[in-house]
Parts: sequence; structure tokens; C-alpha cells
Amino acid sequence: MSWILFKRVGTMVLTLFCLCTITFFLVRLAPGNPFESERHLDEVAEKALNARYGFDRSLPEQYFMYMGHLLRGDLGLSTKFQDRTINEIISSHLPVSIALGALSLFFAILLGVGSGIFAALYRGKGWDLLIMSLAVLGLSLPTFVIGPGLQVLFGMKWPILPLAGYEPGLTHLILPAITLALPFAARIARLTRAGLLDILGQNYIKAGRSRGFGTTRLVFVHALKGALLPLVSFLGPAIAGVATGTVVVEKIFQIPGLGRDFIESALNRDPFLVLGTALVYGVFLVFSNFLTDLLTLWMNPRLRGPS
Amino acid sequence: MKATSPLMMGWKRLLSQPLACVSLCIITLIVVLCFGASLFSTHQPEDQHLWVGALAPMSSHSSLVAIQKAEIGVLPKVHPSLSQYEQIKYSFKKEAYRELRIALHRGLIHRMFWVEGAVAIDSIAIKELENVRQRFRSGQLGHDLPELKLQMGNPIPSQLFQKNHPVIFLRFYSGSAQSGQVELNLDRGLVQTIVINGKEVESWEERAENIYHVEARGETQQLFHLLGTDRLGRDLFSRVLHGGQISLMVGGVATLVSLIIGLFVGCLAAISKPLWDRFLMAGVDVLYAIPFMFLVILLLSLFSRSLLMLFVALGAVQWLTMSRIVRAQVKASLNLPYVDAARLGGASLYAILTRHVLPNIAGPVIIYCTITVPAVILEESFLAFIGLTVQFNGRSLDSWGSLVHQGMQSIGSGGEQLWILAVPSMAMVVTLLALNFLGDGMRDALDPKDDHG
Repeated sequence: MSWILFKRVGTMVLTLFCLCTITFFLVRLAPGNPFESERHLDEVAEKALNARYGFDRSLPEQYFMYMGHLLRGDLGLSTKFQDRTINEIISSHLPVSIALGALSLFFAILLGVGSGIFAALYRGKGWDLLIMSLAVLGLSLPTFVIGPGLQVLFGMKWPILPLAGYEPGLTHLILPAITLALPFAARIARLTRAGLLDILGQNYIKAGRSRGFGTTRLVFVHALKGALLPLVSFLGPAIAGVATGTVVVEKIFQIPGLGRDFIESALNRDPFLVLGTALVYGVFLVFSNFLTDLLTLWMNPRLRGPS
Repeated sequence: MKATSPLMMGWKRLLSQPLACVSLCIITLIVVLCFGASLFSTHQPEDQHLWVGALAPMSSHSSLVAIQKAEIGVLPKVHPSLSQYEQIKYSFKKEAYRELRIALHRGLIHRMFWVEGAVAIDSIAIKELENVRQRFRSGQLGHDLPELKLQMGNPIPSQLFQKNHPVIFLRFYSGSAQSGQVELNLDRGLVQTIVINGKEVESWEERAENIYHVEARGETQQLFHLLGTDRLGRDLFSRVLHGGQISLMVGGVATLVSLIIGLFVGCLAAISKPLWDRFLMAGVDVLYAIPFMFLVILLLSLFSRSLLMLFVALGAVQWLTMSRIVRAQVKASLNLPYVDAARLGGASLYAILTRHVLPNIAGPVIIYCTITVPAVILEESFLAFIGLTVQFNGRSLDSWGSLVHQGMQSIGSGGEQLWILAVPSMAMVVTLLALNFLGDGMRDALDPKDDHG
């Protein structure tokens, strides 16, 4: 067990290192000058700016400098928003993105597991067919089709929720979170149904049934834990997908989150802000993958055997 | 009894599922429509008809070009569909107006000037609103407000504001209108005579917005838009078909790229020594943990946005799973008796792989490919939606993702012009739905063990 843990931690550290290195060189080797959009930039000012951001040094030097700052938790300075450090920008926008992601993950699990159990219980009946068809529809609806659709329905035709924008509180996050949750709810429903059907066909459930246990007890007490195993290993990709999805949902609903920073800084060629946001996403995803792995190992002792 | 290969059996099982068959037909139809776009739509996707703006589906307008020009003895500048006729009749109605150009900066009035003569002004109070109209927006101003006051540096009144339009044009009509008919007589494409209201003239020029009726050979000449037009008057049907070409092509080619890389790495890992195998797969594991969508966004926004880059970027994300599947399948097959038999028969490793093992693992590989195509289409439109469209010859190629984005931007605050959003969205959803149903059917047909999920 400790060997497996050691190996996972090693892989995680290696992945993070690769991520930082690849992203750094991608961003710094890209053509174009971050100060291009500044009008009337004379030579002295440009030199001063280059010195301020370290662009006057050689690339390997810049790389080691950046990595050194990174280890101390300093993400550097933005070339676009020159009055704020990147740490400040990210720490003011990250909570919004996390709230959005967490809320939509919550919706996705609630809706997905619920409808998955329901479909499995009515296997082959009308309900099952309906839920599974809706699930395929959910898989085929991109977030950027669901989002504007919900905006038109609940923001324009029946204006009950805010159309776009953000203010602290839940009301501005409900539509974006539902938008983001639906495709994952569809996948979770399919996984839950398949897992539950698999378990319900096993002998220990038959034994339980022959002892006279009711369906509710069998499903919720005996079968569900095993049935949710595939779901736990889906949690890693799901978190990654939700994080990617926040980028587009924040654009649709004009929410000032990390995703908008990422896209705008990539298009603005703001090198350290792109790097910073990409790394925050990367670290978050790698870490959540790691936790998912641990959770799977903890829940399924069969995986812990000698590999 | 005739021998049937597992693939043929799978194909027959696929054809026995009605849902998968319908999906297959829909996909075929969409592919034929998109790649034969020029056969099914007479419009070019980039042809603008600014003067008509957004038209609802199933509507038509006169066959015009932005400016009609004719001069005796030369080719006239008219809509291409008209140049074959010997006589074209235009009915026009011209109203005299002055145009005010208002430039905005962050919602505030930044600059105002009269277009005619470029006379800049600081402020203007408009009282008789029934004679004022906003260009590119139908309907009159002034039903709900007594007067408009525009002052430099002040916010623009909400009645004039249009999303994503940094410049607003106001027209002040003086009330006097001039109307009449122009007759062009052509011979072998060249203009012979020009008659305006019964008088012959040497040359003629008219903007499209002043012409309301076009006639040739006694018939009204109109352009028909099956699915309507977008805000710039571009035909949506043709835009959706041409956008589909990009989306489908990216889906197909990126899947092919991932298939080739995945097959190569998977086979290599399966047949090489355990140490190398572990090294390769550990590499795949490390790459797997990297959030690739973010790297793809970086690649496309920082480097070139060419088709090639998109194929490489998207294919590079997808090959990881493919290589895992191929490795597991090849490894399992190499232990089976038929491989031993082939080896005893003197077949080389290459021959065993290509002639014996690969045909046998085709099932899972095909299943994964059918899942990959919609996934790639989704990813490409995701990128296009956030503004990373493919560039080709200096202009963006609009795929379904960017069409949906344009649709989202053109919806009015009350949900008007919904079709601009709905048409590309529907095209996308129907395609993805059909591909997903086909994928499910494919899995049931080729992998009969797994009967649920």
C-alpha cells in the first residue's frame, strides 16, 4: 500500500513538473510581444518594462527564475493589469470559479445518481427508456448550447433568474451551474445505472432478496456502495471537465472567474497571467486526480494487491 | 455454411437495431449535405446583405447587391443571378436624410459627427423622433420617449444601445421622397440602354436599401433563405452547411490522427520488453494527468491557428486512451493459441501483428473511434465558441461553435432573432445525438458481452 502511495505521489510530482515546464516554454516561445498593444512606447520605456518582467534575460535564466518564484508561491506580475499582482487577481477570482464548479458538481451528482437509480429500478420499462434517452440527449448537448438556451428560457421568456453577470450569492450561479451540470449528470446517470444493474445481478443480492429484504434496503444499504465504484473513478475526469467547462460558462454568463482571466490573458498575450491561471487549473486537476485515485483505492481493496 | 468474419456479424447486428440505423442515415444525410453544400445552397456563406439584416427562416428578399451600377457599353454590377436576362426592372424609393455617426467607448458617447461633410458636434437634442431611424434596426424610434438628448461623455440612451455595436448610425429623414423605376436593357451581358422614369441616361447607380422590387422577364426576382439570415444578412443554411464541413472534417481527421498514434504506441508497448512497456505506459500516465484542454487553448491562442495545428492538438489529446486500449488488446491477443500457431508457421512479428492480431482487435478500436468523433467535434466547437476559430488564408473559418457564438450575441433582450442561435445549435445537437446513438449501437453490436450501460 505504501509503495502504491509512493508511486502515485511520485507521478503527481513528475506531472506537475512537466506541466510547469511545458506551459512555461509554450508561453515564452510564442511569437508576439506582450507590449504590442501599448501605443507610443519609446525605447527607454520598453527597456524598463522588459527589465521589470525579466524579458531581457536569456530563456533558461527566465525559466529558473520563474520556477524559483513559483516554489515560493509567487506567480509574478501581469503585463496588462500593471497595478495588481497575479496572486491578487487569482485570489479574487478563484473563489467564484470554485463556487460555480462545486455547485454544478453537486447538481450533477444529485441529478445523475438519482435518475440512475430510478432507471435501474425500472429496467426496460418506459421510465428507464425515457431517462436513458434524456441522458444521451444530455451527452449531445454542448454547454454552449444549453447555456444560451437556458438564458432565453429563464432570463428572457420567463424572467425569473438573472440573465448574466455576477453578484455574491447563489441566484447568479444557479443557471450557470445547471448549464455545466447537465452533461455530467447524463454521464453519471449512465454509470450509476450500469453499476447498479451489475451489482443487482450478483449472488449476494439474490441471497438478500431470498431472505425477504425489501428492494429499498437492498438498493440503498447493500448495492449502492459497490455500484458507485465506477462513479468514484469518474470523479477525476468529471472534475477536469467541470473545470474546463467553467471557462465557457463564465464566458456565456459573464461571470468574473478564473476561466475568463485565462482566455482573456491568452488572447491578450499576458504571459505570466496565462501561466499563472493555467498552473492553478493544472495543480487543481492533478491534485483532484490524485485524491480520486486514493479514494478508489480506499473503496476497492482489490486494486491494492501487488501490481 | 458461408464463413462470416466477426466484423460482418457485428455489421449485421448493427443493422438489426432501428435506432442505430436511423442515426446512420441521419449522419450520412448530414455528411452529404455539408460536403455537397454548393449543390444544395445557391448562397455563399460569406455573402452579406447588410440592408436586410436578420431575416426569419423561409423569407426572401430582392436579388440585389450592395450597390447596383450600370454604364452603357460595359458589364453592369448587379446580382449574378440577374446578368443572364435581357431586361431588368428596378423599383426604387429614395428618401432624403442626414446621417449622424455616434462612436461609443465603454457605453459612453465618445464622438459624434454628421457623416455628410464630417462635421463634428458636441451635443444634440432630437425632438421630432418619428423622422429619425436607426440604421440596421427596423421600427421607428420615439413611441415611448418624447425626445432624445445626446451629449458627449454621457451614457448612450438604452433605446439606441445595441449589443456589440461600438458605432451607432442615426438617420434624420426630411420627409421628401423620390420614387420611380429603372429599366436596364442588356445584350450579351453588356448594358445597351438605361431608362429612369422614361428618360434615357448614360449611367446609373443605386444603393440596395433604396430598391424594394426587382423584376426580370415579367417575374419578381427574389433570393430565398430557407433558414433565414444572420444580422449581417448572410444565409444561415449555407453557413451551417459550410460550418459543418469544418466541424465534421476536424472530427474525422483528428480521430484518424489519434488512431494512428494510438495504434503505433499501443502496439510498440505491447510487443516490447517489459521495462520499455512500463516506461511507455508511465509516460502515457503522466501525459494523461495533464489538463490538455488548457494546453490546446494555449497552443491555439499563442501560436498559429491553422487547421494542421488543430488536428495535431486535438489528435494529441485523444491518442492516450486509444494507446491504452490497443496495448491491452494486443497484449491479450498475443497469448492466444492462434498467435502461437502463426508463429510456428514461421510468420514474422510484423505479419502476426498486421494480419492476425490487428483484425481481431478491430472491434474495440472501432467502438472507441465512434466515441472519439463526437468528442472531437464537441472540443473543436468549444474552442471555436471561445473565439479560437481556425484561420485559413487570413480569414476565420466559422464552424458550428462560432456560429452558435454569433447566434448568442445576436439575440435581442426579449429573445428576438432566436433562429440565429437555434439553427446552428440544432444542427450540432442532431449530429452529436446521431453520432452518440450510433456509438451506443456500435458497442452493442461489436461487444455483445456488455449488454448494459
